[in-house]
Amino acid sequence: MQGNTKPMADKKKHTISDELLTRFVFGELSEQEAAYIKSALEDDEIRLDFIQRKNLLDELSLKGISQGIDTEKGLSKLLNTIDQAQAHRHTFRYHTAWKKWLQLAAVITLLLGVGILIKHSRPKVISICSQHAILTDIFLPDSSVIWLNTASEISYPEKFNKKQRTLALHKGEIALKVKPNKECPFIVQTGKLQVIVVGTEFDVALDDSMGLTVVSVQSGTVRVVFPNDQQAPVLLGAGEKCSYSHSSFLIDTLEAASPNDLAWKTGMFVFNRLPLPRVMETIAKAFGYTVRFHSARAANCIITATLDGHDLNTILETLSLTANIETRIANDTIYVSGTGCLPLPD
Amino acid sequence: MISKKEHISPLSANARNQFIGLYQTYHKRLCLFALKFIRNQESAEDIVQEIFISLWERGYAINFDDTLQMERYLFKSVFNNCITHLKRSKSRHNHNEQVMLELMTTSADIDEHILSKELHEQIESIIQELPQKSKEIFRLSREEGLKNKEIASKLKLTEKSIEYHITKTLKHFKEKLIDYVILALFIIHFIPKN
Repeated sequence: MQGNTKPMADKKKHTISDELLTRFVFGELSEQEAAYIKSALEDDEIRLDFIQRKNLLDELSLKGISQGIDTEKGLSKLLNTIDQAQAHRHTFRYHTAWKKWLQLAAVITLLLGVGILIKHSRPKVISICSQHAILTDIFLPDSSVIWLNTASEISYPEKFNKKQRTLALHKGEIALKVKPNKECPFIVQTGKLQVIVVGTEFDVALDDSMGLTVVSVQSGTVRVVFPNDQQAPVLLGAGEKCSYSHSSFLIDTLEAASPNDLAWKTGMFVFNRLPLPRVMETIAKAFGYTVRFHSARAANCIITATLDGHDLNTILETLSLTANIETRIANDTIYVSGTGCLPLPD
Repeated sequence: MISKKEHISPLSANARNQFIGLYQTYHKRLCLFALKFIRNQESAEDIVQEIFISLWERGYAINFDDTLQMERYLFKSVFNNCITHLKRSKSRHNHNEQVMLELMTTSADIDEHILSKELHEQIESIIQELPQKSKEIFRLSREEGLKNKEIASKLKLTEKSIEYHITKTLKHFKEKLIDYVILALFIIHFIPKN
C-alpha cells in the first residue's frame, strides 16, 4: 500500500477486508463473519464501498462463467415453451366448443349443489365487539334490542331458530330489552351461566377482573341457570340483581339493582349521600376507566346529585366544582387531586 | 371472438422478432447479473427465463421501443426475483445468503449493484494499456471464457506462453488496482485450468 491510496486502504481495515469480501463472494463465511458483515453494512458508507468492491470482484470472476451461459439454447427452450402453450390454448378454444356446454352444465350443477348446501348448513354467526364506545340500539333478528357497553363482545346467529333464541356474551356487559315470545325463550349464554327470559328488560355483565357475572333486572322475570346444575336456578324479579362468583360458584349477593348499574345505557347517574370515591368509581366503571385519588380529603365529600351521564367531561366538571377537586384523564385512568372537603362533624 | 384471438397470440410476427432480439441482447447480461446474487448458474438462468416468459405473457402491454425503460424493467425484475429466491430458500439458507439478502434489501437500488462506470472504465483502460498479445489473450480468457488450452490452439501458441501472458496481465492489474490486491490474487485462482 503506498501513495495516495493509503488512506482508503487504512479505512477498509476498519470496515470489511478484501479477504472477508472474497470469502463472502465464494460462500465461505462463518457465522461470526456473517454477523460482522451484517452489522458493518448498516453504515451507508461502508455498504457502498463494499458493494463497489463486490462489483469489481463480480466483474472479474463472473466473466469466466459467462461461457457456460448458452443464450441460443435458452432462447429455443423459451420459444418452445411459448409455442406449446399457445398451440394448447388454440385447440382448447376452437376445437372443443362443445366442451364449453359441458362446462356450463357442470358449473350450473355445482352452483345448485352449493346453494342447497348453504340452505341446509348452520346459519351464519354475527359477532359484535365494542372497544371504547358504547353501541346502542342493536336490533336482533327477532327485533329485541341490545346495548353493548365498552370493551364487550357478543355473537348470535344471523337467524334465530324456532325453539330458542340464543345470544353469547363473551366479555363485557350488555343490556337487553327482549321482545316477548312465550314459545321461544331468549337465552343469554355466558361462559359461566345461562340467563333465560321470555320477554323482559335486563342486564348481564361479565366482570373478569373481579371474577363475577352480574345479572340485574329492570322489568319482568329472569331465570338464571348455573352450569352443571351446581345450584337450583334463581329467579330474579324486577329491580333485583345477583352476582355469581366464578371462583366460589356461589351467588354472592342478591340485592336491589341500583339505577346506576345501567347508567351507561340510560345516561343517568343518581347519587344519594354517597362519598366521593364511591361516586367516582361508579362513574369511572360506567365509562370503562379506573380511578386514582391523589387527594386525601376528597374522601370527605358527600355527593347527592342526579347527573346526565352522556358526557364524561361534563360530569367531571360538575363534580370538580361541587367537591373542590381537579380531575385529569390519562391512559384509561381518571386522576383526582385538589383540596377536597373538610370532614363532616359526626 | 376476434378480441380473444388477439389475446391468444399477443405478439405479432414483428413483435416476436423484437422479443427474440431482446432475449439475445440481454440474456447473458441478465444471467450474469443474477449470478451476482445467486451463486448457482442453473437457478440464475431459471430466474432470467421466468422473467422472459412473463414478459411474453404480457406481450401486448410491452413497449419494445423504449430501450432504457425496458432495460430497467428487466434488471429490476431479475433483482426482485433474486430476492424472492433467496427468501424462499431461507429454511435451508446459509450465512452467505443471509448477508446477501441483507445487502440487497438495504441497497435496493439496482444501479448500486451494477459496476460503476468509473470502475468499468478503469478496467477497460487497464486492458487498453496491455501489450497487443496480452490484451487479446486476456479478452479470450476473461470475456469469452476460453481455457488456456483453447486459447493456445486458437492463437497457435504454446500453453506455457499463454500462462505467461495471463500472469503478466494479472500482475499489471495488481499494480494498477492496488486497492484490490487480494482480488487480483484471487483472479489467479480463477484462471481456467488446463
